[in-house]
This record gives sequence, C-alpha cells and structure tokens, in this order.
Amino acid sequence: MEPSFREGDYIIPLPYFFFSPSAGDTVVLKHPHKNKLLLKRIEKITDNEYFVKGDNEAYSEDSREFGPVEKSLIAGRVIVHVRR
Amino acid sequence: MGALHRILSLLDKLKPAKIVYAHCDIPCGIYDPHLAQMAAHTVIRMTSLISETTDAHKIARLTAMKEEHAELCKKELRILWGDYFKHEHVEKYPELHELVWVAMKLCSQAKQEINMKAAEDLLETVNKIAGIFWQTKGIETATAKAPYPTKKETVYPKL
Repeated sequence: MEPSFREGDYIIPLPYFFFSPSAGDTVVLKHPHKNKLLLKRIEKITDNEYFVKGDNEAYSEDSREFGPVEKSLIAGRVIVHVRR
Repeated sequence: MGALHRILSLLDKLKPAKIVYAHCDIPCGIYDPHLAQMAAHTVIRMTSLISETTDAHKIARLTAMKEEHAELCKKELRILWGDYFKHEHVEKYPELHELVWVAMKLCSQAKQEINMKAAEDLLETVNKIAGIFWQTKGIETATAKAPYPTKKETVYPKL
C-alpha cells in the first residue's frame, strides 16, 4: 500500500457493524485463502462483493489474484493511521 | 517518528498488535527476466560445445550443464508467469500465456535433444517475454548482441 501506508505504520480499523463498505474505503480484511490479514482499498462493489486492490499495484496481492471478497471477510475500515 | 508512534510502539511491546499485510510475501517486487535469458544463452552455448567434441567425459559435463540451465530457464519463466504477471498484463498482452507455454516446451526439447534450432528459438521466445515484462513496468528496451560467446540478440531494459 506504499506510499499511502508503510511498514511500521500503525492503523486502527473500525468494524462496519450495520453499515456497508464503500468504494474508496481502506479496509483490513482476512485473506480468503491464507491465515493472515490484508490492508487494501475497495476499488469497486459488484453484486455485494468487494473488489479490493493495493495502492502499490505492481507488487500487490489482491482481488486480481483471489477475486472479489464477501463482506464477512472485511474486518473493518481504517479510521486511524499513525505513520512510522 | 512522532510521539504517538512511540507510544504505540511501547504498547506494541506490552501487547503485540496484529500484523496486517499490505503486499505479497517476500521477496517483494524483485523480478527480472535476465536469469531466464542467461539460462537460454547457456543452453545455446552448451548445445554448440557438445557438437564440437567427441570426448565422452566432456559431452557428459556439457549435457549436464545444458539440462541444468534449461530447467533453470523453466523455473525463472514459471516465477515470472505465476508470481509477477497479473490479469491486466495478460489482457494487454494476450500472447503471453502462449509465449510461456512455447518457451517451456522449447526448454524440454533443448534438454531432450542436441537441437540448436530449439535452443535459439528458446532465446527468441524468452526475449519476447522479457520485452513484455519491461513494457509492463513502463521501461523501454533495446536489443543488442549479448557479450557472451553466443553473441545472440538479447532484449535489455534501458535503465
């Protein structure tokens, strides 16, 4: 997600609860196939599925590889970002 | 590093925060078709040297090296194709899958046979893949004779 986010930055995500993610939101989500959390931006929403993409496109593993994700995988939206 | 980051770092030591990954697993972004190109050159060179000798020991060593570098070429192409190239690259360069497949087949043929045409076709195909690779990075390329005994035309990035 460079240069928007760099290694060592801290973020605090807020769960959406009853709201829905919007295009442009920076979100924390569970990787659909691996046991890890990802930080990506929602690029578009189609049929209640979210296409996420990293800002550093050339080196980002995102929906271009694993496809759009369901809301259940989205942990929350980044509301606090503290740079290293 | 601001005061808030220092405070969070201290809290992180007391109760570690979850790590969120913003990019792929290591090594991040280090891709280069050059290793595949060099391996193809080596296959050409070994094929040529095999044809120039009847010494069984030399042929054995040259064949082993040809085998190793044809396999290395396959491996490097697999890394570029499987890890680097993305859907948008394939959409823009629809010939990419075919080129990689052809190169893989030529690697196998170069291993199985003493076949200079297969070896030269391999380098030509790998050069095309290299050209696409650098285009996806927005880097112009130039073609020049490689400074190796093969002296074959090779695609290089203009850095």
